[in-house]
This record gives sequence, C-alpha cells and structure tokens, in this order.
Amino acid sequence: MSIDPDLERQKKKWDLSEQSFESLLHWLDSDRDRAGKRYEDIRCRLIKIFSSRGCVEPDYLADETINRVARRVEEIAKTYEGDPALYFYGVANKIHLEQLKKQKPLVRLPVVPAANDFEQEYVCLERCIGYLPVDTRDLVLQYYDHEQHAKVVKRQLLAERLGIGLNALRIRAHRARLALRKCIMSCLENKQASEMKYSN
Amino acid sequence: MQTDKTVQEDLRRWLLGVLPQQESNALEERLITDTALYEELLIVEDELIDEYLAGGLTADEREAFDSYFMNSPERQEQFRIANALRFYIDESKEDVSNRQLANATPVKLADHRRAWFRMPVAAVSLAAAAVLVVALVWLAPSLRSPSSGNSLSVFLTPGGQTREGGSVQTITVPPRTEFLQLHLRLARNDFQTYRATLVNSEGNVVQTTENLRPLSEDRGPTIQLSVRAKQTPPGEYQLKLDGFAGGKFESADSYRFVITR
Repeated sequence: MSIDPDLERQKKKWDLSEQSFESLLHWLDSDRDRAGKRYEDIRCRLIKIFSSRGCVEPDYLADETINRVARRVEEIAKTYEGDPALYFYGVANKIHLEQLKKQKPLVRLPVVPAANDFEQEYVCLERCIGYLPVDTRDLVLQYYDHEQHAKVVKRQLLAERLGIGLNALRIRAHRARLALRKCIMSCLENKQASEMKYSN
Repeated sequence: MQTDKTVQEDLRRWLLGVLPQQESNALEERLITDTALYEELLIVEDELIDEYLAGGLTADEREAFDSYFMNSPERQEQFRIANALRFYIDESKEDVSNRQLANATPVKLADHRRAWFRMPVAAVSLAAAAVLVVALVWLAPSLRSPSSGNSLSVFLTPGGQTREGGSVQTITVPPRTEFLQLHLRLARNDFQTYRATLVNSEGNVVQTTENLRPLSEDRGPTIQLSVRAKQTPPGEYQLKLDGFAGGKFESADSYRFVITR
C-alpha cells in the first residue's frame, strides 16, 4: 500500500517533541520571543539556500534540517561553541548531499511567467497598497518608478526630501516593498483558500 | 574588506548560479549568520527581477536568469508581483496624466487593463437595475493602516433589506481618502469569478475589474475590490456585477450609491 507523501511530509515536519522544540528555542536564545524570531530567520535563510541550489522542495529540506538539529539539540548544546546558525548550515549541507546521492538531480524546467500572467497578483496589489500608510505608498510608487531617465533623479530628490542617503533610501523602499509583498502573498493564500471552500 | 558593490555583485552572481563553488560556500555561511547581508540579498533579488523586466540584463545574465534564477516557485511568484507593481505604477502615472487632460475618459484605463490581461470581454449591459441598494458604510479600523486614515471600507448589499430604510446609500468620503474598499455582498453565489463595472450617472464606465473571486466573510460570500477615491467625484454611481460562466458573462447583482464629500 502506498503512503501519501504529503502525509509523510507533514508527519516529518511536525516530528518534533514539545521538549525538543523548547530545547531548540532555548539553544537559539534564552529569551523565547527572540528565539522564535531567530528560528524563523534561520528557516527562511535555509529555504533561500536550498532554493538557490535548485532543490525542488526547499521548504521541506529546511524543515528536515531543523528537525535533525532539534532531535540532537540537548547533546549539541553541551559542547557546541559558536553561532548555532552555522550548525544548521552544516546539517543543511549534509542533507543536500544526501539528496544528491539519493536521486538524480531533478531538473525542473524553469518557467518565466508570461508577461501578462499577474492578474491575481494585481488584484491583491490594488487591495494591499490601500492598506499602506500614505508615506510608504508614495515611497514605493516613486522609488520603483522604472522610467530609466527619471529613476536616478527621482531617487536623488526623494532621498534629499527624506533627509537620508541613497542606500538608506534603497533599504527603506525595499522594506516597504517587502511589507506589500507579504500582504499580497497573504491575499493570494486567502483567495486560494476561499476558492477551495467554494468549490467543495 | 569587501565593498558594498562587490558584495552586491557576489550576491547577484550567486543568485544567477555563476559564483564559483568555494565563494558560494563562503557567501552562504555569511548569509546564514549575517542579518544585514541577508537583507542585502533580498534587495538584490528584487533588483535583479526589476532589471530583467526593464530589459537591463546582459544576454548571459538573461540566460542565467531564465534557466537558473527562476527555478523556484517562490521566485516565480516574486516575479509576478514585481510585474504587477510595475504595471500598477505605469497605470498610476497614466491616471495622473489623464486627469490633467480636460476631457480625459477614465474608461481608457479599464480598457487598457482588460486588453492586457486578455480576458474574455462581453458587451456591458448598462440597463438600469431597479434594485434597492443597501450600503452600510463605516471606517473599518482593521482594514486600514493605523496611521494612514486613507481607506474607506464600504459594504454594499443588493436587495431591500436596509438599516437605513431602503434608500440608496449616500457615502460621504472624508478628505484625504484615497481608496474605497468595496465589499459587495452577494445575494447568491452562483459563479466562480465575477466582473465589476462601476458606471457614473452619465453612463461612463469608471472602472472595470475582472476575475474577482468571492471571499468568505462573516455575513456570507463577498466580492472585494478597490476603487481610487479620485475616480469617484461626487455623484450617483451604479456598480454592476456580472458572473462568468460557460465562456460568457451573466448579470449577477447591481448596487447603487451616491458619493458626497
């Protein structure tokens, strides 16, 4: 009888005892809130790394990395010195090698979305941009104006108006864009959930 | 010590899969521990997508972008969002320049968008629907950013059950409101997608939004859409909702309201 791979994956994802998880958090930081943030940071970075190595399921591999560390965390914490994130990175490398040995590297055909394939995103963007504070929205609209000639001058003027340097402006604009993207992603997820609900 | 430009260049090459292995490993070790570098990575990632869309990459970079960088669903989504933002900015600019023309016709924007998305277009019936429209309007703090005060949530219900006695709802738009977030309650939810057409009292189409999907809210299925406040000067409006089924649009609901300032 075949086993549903999704169930197996879910099981693996949550294959952490409460105690292991708590020990893991404590290892990352004695303050629980900071530890939670650190956990999320490490997970996101692992996903980026697996993703950049062309792994098919970067989220799954990041969770597997965390699970492996968590299972041995009490032992590791006693002797390991240095930034815990580097330990995760070492385990991630090991898991990646195992993946490469286990199977032929899966070559996914990259798909660059069509130029007009963003309608759902656009609908969510229209909604989300309305939730941004006026200043933030103006910053996004002006900073990311892509007209080549106007771009440099606009950014310079914008930085002067805000009394910050160009690099600070670049970071500020990016953070605003990130907030917008998070809202769009959440809007898209809600749409999908709603779609599934109504199709059932 | 590496300069900012060198770091950016390394990140860019890493993202495109052309950074040598040893340098990649060193960079990854830093990425996992260095918060500022990780943020820089996210910025470079967005800039790379923007450059691709602007046609600013070299032929080699473009090849690496297509065959390596885009090899992740997460980045494909990021790409779509970047494209949507680019389009939105263009549209905003077009909107501003249209308003500067005395006899500008806002319908052009909707047409432009419709053509872009290549959605099926059916003839828009503007026959007046004798439907009592109920609109319950309030500022919904949960839907606004705490400091912005610029989105007005408007709940519209077709039919005659009105708290205000069955009359067409007057919506008073406070100064500095930039967006009306319209929540259209559905009398029946018979379609998977809808098209909303906002028409002013002269019969001009102010905005058309297609491929709207019902969302589940406390009081039942609702269609949500955003309208820029500047597109709705004081006057009477009709919002016509058509459902899409079997390759064509069918009339679903209609909502009427009056905007005052």
